[in-house]
Amino acid sequence: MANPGRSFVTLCLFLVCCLWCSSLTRGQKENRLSICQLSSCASPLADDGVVYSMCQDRPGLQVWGRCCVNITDNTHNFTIGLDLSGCNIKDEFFKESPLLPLTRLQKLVLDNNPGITVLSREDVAGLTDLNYISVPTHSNCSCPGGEEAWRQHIRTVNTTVCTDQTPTCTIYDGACPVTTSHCVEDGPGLFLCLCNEGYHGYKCLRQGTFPMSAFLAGLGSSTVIVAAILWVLQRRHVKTA
Amino acid sequence: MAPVSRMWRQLTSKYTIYHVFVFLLTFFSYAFFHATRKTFSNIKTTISSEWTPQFCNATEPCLRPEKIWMDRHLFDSSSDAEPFLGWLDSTFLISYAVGLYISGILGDRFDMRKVLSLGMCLSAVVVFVFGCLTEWVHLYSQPFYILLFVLNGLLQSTGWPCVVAIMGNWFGKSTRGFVLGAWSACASVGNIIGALLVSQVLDYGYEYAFLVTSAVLFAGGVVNFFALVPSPKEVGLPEPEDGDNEDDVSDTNDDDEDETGITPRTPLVQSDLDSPVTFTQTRPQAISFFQAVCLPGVIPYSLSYACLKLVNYSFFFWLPFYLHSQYGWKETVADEISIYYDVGGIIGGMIGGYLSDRMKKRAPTVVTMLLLALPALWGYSASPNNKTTNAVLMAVAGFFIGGPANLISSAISADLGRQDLIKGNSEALSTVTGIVDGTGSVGASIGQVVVPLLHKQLHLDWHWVFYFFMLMTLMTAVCILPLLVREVRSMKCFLNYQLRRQAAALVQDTHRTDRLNSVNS
Repeated sequence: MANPGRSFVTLCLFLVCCLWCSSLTRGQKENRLSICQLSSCASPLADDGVVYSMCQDRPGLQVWGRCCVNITDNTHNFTIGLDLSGCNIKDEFFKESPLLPLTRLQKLVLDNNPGITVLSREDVAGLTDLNYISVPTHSNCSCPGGEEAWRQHIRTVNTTVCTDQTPTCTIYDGACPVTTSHCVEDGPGLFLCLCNEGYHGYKCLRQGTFPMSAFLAGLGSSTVIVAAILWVLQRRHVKTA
Repeated sequence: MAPVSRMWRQLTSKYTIYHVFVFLLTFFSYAFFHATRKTFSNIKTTISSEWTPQFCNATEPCLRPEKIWMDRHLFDSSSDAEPFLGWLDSTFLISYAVGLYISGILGDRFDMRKVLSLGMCLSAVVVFVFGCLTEWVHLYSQPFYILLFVLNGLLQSTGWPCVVAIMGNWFGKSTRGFVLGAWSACASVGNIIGALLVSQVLDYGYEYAFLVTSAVLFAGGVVNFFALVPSPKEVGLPEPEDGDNEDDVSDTNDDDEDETGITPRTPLVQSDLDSPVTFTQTRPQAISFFQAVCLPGVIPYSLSYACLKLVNYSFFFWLPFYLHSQYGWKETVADEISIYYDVGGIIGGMIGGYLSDRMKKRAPTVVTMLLLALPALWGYSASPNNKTTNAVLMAVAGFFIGGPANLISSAISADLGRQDLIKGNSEALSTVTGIVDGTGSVGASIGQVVVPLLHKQLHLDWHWVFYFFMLMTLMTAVCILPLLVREVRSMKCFLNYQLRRQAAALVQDTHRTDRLNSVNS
């Protein structure tokens, strides 16, 4: 006769785990879905757009709302194209870094959004694979990352298209302090200086770990020994008043 | 062979194992104090990087990730941090000067061993909190740093008066100059120890440099507590001789000596000093601060030391800037060259100490060396762009400036604190040493302010700074001039008096024999 109490608890735990797992994945999908299916987008993905043609190009790619998603690996789907043209995007959209999780994004279309007046580097941080971006032509707005970040600029009246991202580490060659850190790409016009092997801490100034226990043990024992020896030699004969 | 064995016999009869350990313990105590001070100077560049974000402007992009490169904002840039580091130095000097007066008084009133040990241990704790704890807790705060440095200055000041007083208790006037001249190497040895420890450990992080030097200082304090004997009276040994006339008893090198050690100059009536001493159970009462200041010789030597320490400190503080702007040498070169100055100072202190021991007068030696320091300084300011020549000239300058500085702060302070006037009646050694060194530190603090003023505000070039140093060296000699005159006159008078007495005695003898003859005949 199985213990009914114990089996009930196990069942509850199993249910809780299931709910938690599904909520996690649902959350991810929801996040992906949320940017792929922005409510402000009036129409679905345009047939003549770059992102649509990218998705038709090879198998394993699927259109989800405004995104082109690579679904070859069932557990890890990633977006490689995003078309947000005509979605009424404004500058505040980028405040919470919505593009940050889209690390494998290759093509980003943002034209036909008169609300975008300026795009800074941080808005496209981390998008190292990005090699096509189109933004609305605006006096303040140019491709994020600046002129040096893209090899090709095509400017028309309404849209500026930049292609072929230049690796930032080649532009800012000596920026990272030489012996202690190295340069790592981080998107158009962005780079990271990460500490080299063996270095750590603020500004990568520290090397190795201090042998604290060995030091304290050595100093402590030698102090005790010297104090004891010298007490015998020196103060043993001291007479106090 | 015989003179060597005689010297050895004199040495062992005069100095015991206690003298050896007192020398070593006080030597390393002060060396460890200096090591913790040197730690701060050597990590200034590193600590200013830790306080500031990485420099960036329009041409140099700001580095990411911010956590590694831009997170600290105690100062906006290293050039903003520099004045603060200067303020820390000045705060330390001022509180050190104030502390010296106080610690001097404390040393004479309380057991010097306890004052010294407590000072060492507490100072180690403060240095640990400043350098290590603030980094581990990531608490960077300017007022907190200043407060800690004030405390550190007050606590470090317990070192010098106590160690000089203890050495003065064990080594008498006849050898004090030479022994203390050699012993004064403790400051430079401390600098070297500090520099060595820092260089070994700095890669792990600057806080470990502070940890190591403060731990070593703490350990030294503990050892002192268990091992240091501040005065020969505590172990039943006689106190060393201090007056001028009793020195003849021990100075027997050139007299022919018979087996019992009696020379033609041995006083016919043995003074109480030679009889076995019943150690005094109670220490004589400590002298009051104003009485100590009014002791003859204290004010002139204090003022002269103020001028001399101003030259010493300012010279070292500005040397890196001077060498960089004159010859374009790196700042580390200044560190290396300053070792030559220290070496010159130690040799100068030892030779000057030995000469003044033999002459039994300190002022003539000191003033002569100071006057010779003027051409030495001028010669250094005219040094060519060659590191070897520069080092040699530096050693010569060190000999003539550092030598008297060592003498005044150690042997002469000890002499002043044990002079005949108060001998046996009051404890004054530590107070007097505190006064002399305290006034010296006040002079050094003034120098920290005046020299940058001369250079930056008045836009005078480096030669004028050197002229200022030469003027200060001259002032040092001038302050001691009254003492010099008195000592030289006493020497001449003494010689004349001796001659006249011998002549009078001879005349008396001839008269007596004449009278005897006339009676007999």
